[in-house]
Amino acid sequence: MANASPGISTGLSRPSSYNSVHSNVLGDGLYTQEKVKHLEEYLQLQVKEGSYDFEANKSLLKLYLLYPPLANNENVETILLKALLNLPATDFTLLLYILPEKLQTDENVLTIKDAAEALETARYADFWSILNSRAAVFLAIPEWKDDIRKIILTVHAATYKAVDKAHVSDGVGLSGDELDSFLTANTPGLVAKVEVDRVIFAPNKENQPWVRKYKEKVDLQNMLGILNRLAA
Amino acid sequence: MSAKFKAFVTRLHGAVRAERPNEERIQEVYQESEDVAKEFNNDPWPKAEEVSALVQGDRVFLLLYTEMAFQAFFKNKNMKATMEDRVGSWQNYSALFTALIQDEAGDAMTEAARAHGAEVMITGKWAFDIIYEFVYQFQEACQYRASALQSAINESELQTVLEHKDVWTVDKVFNFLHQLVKVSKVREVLEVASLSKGSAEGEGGGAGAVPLVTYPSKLHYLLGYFALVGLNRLECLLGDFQNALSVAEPVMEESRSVHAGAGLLLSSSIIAQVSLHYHIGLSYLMIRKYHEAIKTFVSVLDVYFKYMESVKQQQRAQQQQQQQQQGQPVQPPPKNADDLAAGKLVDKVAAMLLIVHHLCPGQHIPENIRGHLTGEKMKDKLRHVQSGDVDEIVTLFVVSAPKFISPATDYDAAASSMGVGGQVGTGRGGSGGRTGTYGGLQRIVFAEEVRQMLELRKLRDYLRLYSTIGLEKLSAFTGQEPENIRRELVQYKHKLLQLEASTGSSAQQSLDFHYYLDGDMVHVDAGEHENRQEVSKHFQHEIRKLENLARTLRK
Repeated sequence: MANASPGISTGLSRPSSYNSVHSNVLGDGLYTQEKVKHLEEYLQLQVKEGSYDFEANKSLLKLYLLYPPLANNENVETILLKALLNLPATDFTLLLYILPEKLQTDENVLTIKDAAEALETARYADFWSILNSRAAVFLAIPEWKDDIRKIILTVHAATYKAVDKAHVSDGVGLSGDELDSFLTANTPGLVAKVEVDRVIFAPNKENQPWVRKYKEKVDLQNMLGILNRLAA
Repeated sequence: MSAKFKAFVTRLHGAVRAERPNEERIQEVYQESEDVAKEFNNDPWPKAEEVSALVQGDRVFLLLYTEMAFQAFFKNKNMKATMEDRVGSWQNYSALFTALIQDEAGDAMTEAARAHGAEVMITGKWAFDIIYEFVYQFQEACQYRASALQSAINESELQTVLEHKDVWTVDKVFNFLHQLVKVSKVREVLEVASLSKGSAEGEGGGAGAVPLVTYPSKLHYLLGYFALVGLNRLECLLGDFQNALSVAEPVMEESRSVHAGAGLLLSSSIIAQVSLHYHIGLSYLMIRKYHEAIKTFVSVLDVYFKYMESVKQQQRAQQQQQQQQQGQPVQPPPKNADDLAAGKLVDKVAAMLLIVHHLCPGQHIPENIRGHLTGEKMKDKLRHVQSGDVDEIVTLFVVSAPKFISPATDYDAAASSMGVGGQVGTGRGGSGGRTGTYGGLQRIVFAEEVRQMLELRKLRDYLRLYSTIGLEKLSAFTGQEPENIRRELVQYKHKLLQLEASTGSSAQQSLDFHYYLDGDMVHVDAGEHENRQEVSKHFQHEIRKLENLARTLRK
């Protein structure tokens, strides 16, 4: 998303065939069944490259909505998991609105929904227990767990100037050396310093006081008139 | 067929086919259709074949006529439309649109299609009615089909539904609207209009630099323009709120740039204006751009109130005139159907505004709109919202939102569930979600968001009182465990980041306060309340008033 806070950027890149897909497949805005195949291949490319194209994936989900027999559960799961990697943007919510009916009761989709809700409401213990109990669901995208961890840390960095290490540990689901190496290796720009039992985050515009810009709203000429009158 | 009706058809035909068509004249005759419809309280309008002789078999006109006849039929509460009627109406829309698009692929437009458009003239209001009705009948057909498949109607209707799987399908509806947009070149025309405006303002006349785009015919342009509005509504009904916004952007852009809406095509119908803004505002609400939603709802309420004011003034003038002529009081004329429908939609807009303003307070709402929201008419709705009860707010949302549709009919799934049910005619129960007007998902997602936003509001109200406050103290106030408050604070940061990302602007604009934690201490910055800016203005104004009063007294 444009205009993200400094140090708070998910950094998902565009797929290599972005331009050709947008001009050849999505360009005319029409919903035709033939597009499904192209967009499914494009989704797999995104998985392989670690890239992301929300608009194209939303179009694929929409085609599944319009042509229910074509809907592919695994692809829907992949689309949803991909969208979570773009948190805190609203991608996941926008997809929920157009989820085909048949999939609304799919067990894996429900698991992903539960995980997403735990994530959004900062119930991290619940989140990690869902991940551990239904691990297979989250394997569709390589390194998904690690990427989600970075997002969780990003939210912490926006909330705290400094915080007990235990809270960060609960959040990202790591402890001990694993936690330390994650905090130092993985997070340029987010963490300033890791102490024995405290994490100090790098300053960003969320974890600092607002810079106030005072704007004079009272016109001086007007005020002078009033003051003169009062003084008289 | 009465002589009056024959005269109406002949007049209408004459007006749309006039060598020098006059829009006011066409609108005048078109408006008569409302009156004409009263003749057919218990019957459909005469079929195209029956009026064909009156108009020398004019094919395009007869397609337009049949569209009007179907509109009247579907609006008539005494009529019960069957699947066959729906098929008939679909075929007429298909024929009408195809005659104007001609080439199925939509790549090139044939001369015949261009000619069809050039020969006939309709008005903006009429074009809007055609497209709006087209989307409405699609929505209605989805519901009808779903209830027929649930065996909620009867066996023969079910058979007819199954025989016509190819009518009113969502892809065809989409494609017709998209093709109308494409052949009419409406996007290009609007883009050039906004570009040339920009360059004229910027460099004092960059005219000539912008290539001139012309539309194939006025009829094409009108239908293409309102097809954008129709697509906006359709995307909304399907739950793709992001597309709903992007498809209508050229129209919104135009209405923002044209000064006070003068000469704007969108203002040719009050319903077009209210409906478009209603769906745009709703889309913003659903994708959590609360400030944009509030702005959109406020602006359309303002437009509507001004419109009604001008209608009343006109009526008053007319009444006075008649009174002078007749020498006795005259009853005010009844509201026309459009104004009534717009009024109903405006009530929904006002309810939506109440909801979103409660979720995201702190944004300035002009005095006249505020007055309406707190007025007698809105009292019950206001109470629901202010109760702060999630269920009450969601209920108000559901009755004020459009009927979301499940666009695709899954005939196989319906057939198998019928098999399981054993017999046809088991009624609505059982297959829960398969009800055409599903919208369950929209409601559930929205309800969760309301719950979270309301909690955030509560916390915000406490936090705004302090510049620093410890978790322990906050816990004592709210009666919640400190760790739960910590969780909420992280959660709301997540939400703030989300609001920020979705608006592409700073948090200062998404919510009116800001906080961060240092250990267990919360640091809070309260935002500049927009109302506070008004305070100094207010005082200055009052002082000046007093001064004037004092001066007058001294004289």
